[in-house]
This record gives sequence, C-alpha cells and structure tokens, in this order.
Amino acid sequence: LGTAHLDGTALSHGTLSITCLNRLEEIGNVAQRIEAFGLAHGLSSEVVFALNLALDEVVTNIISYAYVDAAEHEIGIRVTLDGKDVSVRVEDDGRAFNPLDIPKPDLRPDIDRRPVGGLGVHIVRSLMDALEYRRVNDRNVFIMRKRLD
Amino acid sequence: VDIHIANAGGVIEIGVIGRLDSATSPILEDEVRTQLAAGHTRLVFDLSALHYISSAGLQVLLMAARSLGRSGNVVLAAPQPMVQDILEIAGIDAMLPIYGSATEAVSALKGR
Repeated sequence: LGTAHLDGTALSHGTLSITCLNRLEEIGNVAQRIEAFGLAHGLSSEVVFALNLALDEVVTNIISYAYVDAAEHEIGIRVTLDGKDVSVRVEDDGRAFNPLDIPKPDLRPDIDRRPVGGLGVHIVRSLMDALEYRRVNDRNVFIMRKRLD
Repeated sequence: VDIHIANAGGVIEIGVIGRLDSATSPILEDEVRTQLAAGHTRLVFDLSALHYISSAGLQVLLMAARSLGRSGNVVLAAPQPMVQDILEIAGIDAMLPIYGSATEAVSALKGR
C-alpha cells in the first residue's frame, strides 16, 4: 500500500486499470481494487465510496442491459488521479447506450407511484461533477469526473 | 452481505451487514420476500453495520415498502453517514422513517 511513495510517484497522481467480466459478482472485486488505490493515494473514504458506487451503477447497467448475447465480455475501467480531480473511464463492447439519455426519476415520496428504474443514473449524477458519453469504434465510452476539494 | 433476522414480538428486525450491491441485493430480497410470505407486516431494517448500498439495495427497501403499502410499517434504523447520504439522494429518507437505533425502531413499531 506504500508503493506510491516507493516508486516516487506523487500521491496525488496515479492510474489504476481494471478489466472485469460481465458478471455481477465482479462488482465486489472492483470495489476492493478501488479501495486499495484510494488508500495508497490518500483519497478520503467519502471519495472512495462515491467512486465505487458510481462505478457499480454504471457497470451494473452495462452487465444487465448492454449485451444481446450470453457470451463473456470484458469491461475496461481506468481510474486516473490528476491532482485536483479523479476521473473514471468505463469502456464496453455492448450495444450503443448513453446513460445520460435516461430521464431523471420522479423522487416524490409516494411509494406507489415510484418508478423502478432510473435511480442508478440519478445517483451517478449526484455523486459526480461531470459526465461524458461517447460511442467510439462500436464501443461505449463513459467518463465520470469528480473534483477532490 | 450477511442478513440476521430476529422476531421481536411480531416486529421483524432485519440486520443487514456488509455490502448491498447488485450481486448481493438478491440475497436480501429473498429474505424479505420470505418474511412477507410469512405474513409479517412490520419490518425494521437495521443498517448500523451496512457499509455500502447501491440502487439495487435501495430497490429492495422500496420493494418491501411497496409490498406492504399503507397497511404495513417499514422503517430503517441507524444508517452510517455515507449510506444516509445515499438514502437522501434517492429520496428514501422522505418515504421511510429512519430511527437512531434498532431498539428505538422496534419499540416504535410494537405499539402499532
């Protein structure tokens, strides 16, 4: 966990690349990698929680809805810490899907009228400061940024 | 995630320990459905040892509340600060009562 010091890298800069498969059980493993990265780079527990949760929601959506076949697919995750902010890039080879097209859910406190979907993306929007979607070479690229102030 | 169930005079206390993500939330969902099928209408979710919740976990809480409608009582107890934040972002704090401890929540429901 002290490797950030040992290899001379500044604590406030670093990159973590993770490849996970399209299985929901992978979410817990991804979270462990993010937690270790956060610890090594001195990120607050609030920031680590936010990164994990936003990533969980995005990856869960991909695993649940992106694939039209039952085959194994790889999802690429790259976390980049760049001094003042942290960005998380998620790339998948599923069908074109822009999470930003999902409308904001109705959050009125009426249990019976409450829709089942849309909550995940709403949480992502709330936790992150900037979101960006691109379709590149038949792949979905979703980038989330969070300020570290 | 680990789920602990206790029956306190008809009030079902559901202790949720660990992480509720899309992989583990079905475990809680099964347990809640079992309690509902047994005819229980008063549920306390003790969240004091829950470190993490995603929308999949929130949906289980909403499912319980929706299933019991206005006849039943679903309440939450002692969420940790970061889980509390997520409950607020999702607007669940405005839908379900949140008590400071499971003991308080159970005694509030016992009177009903």
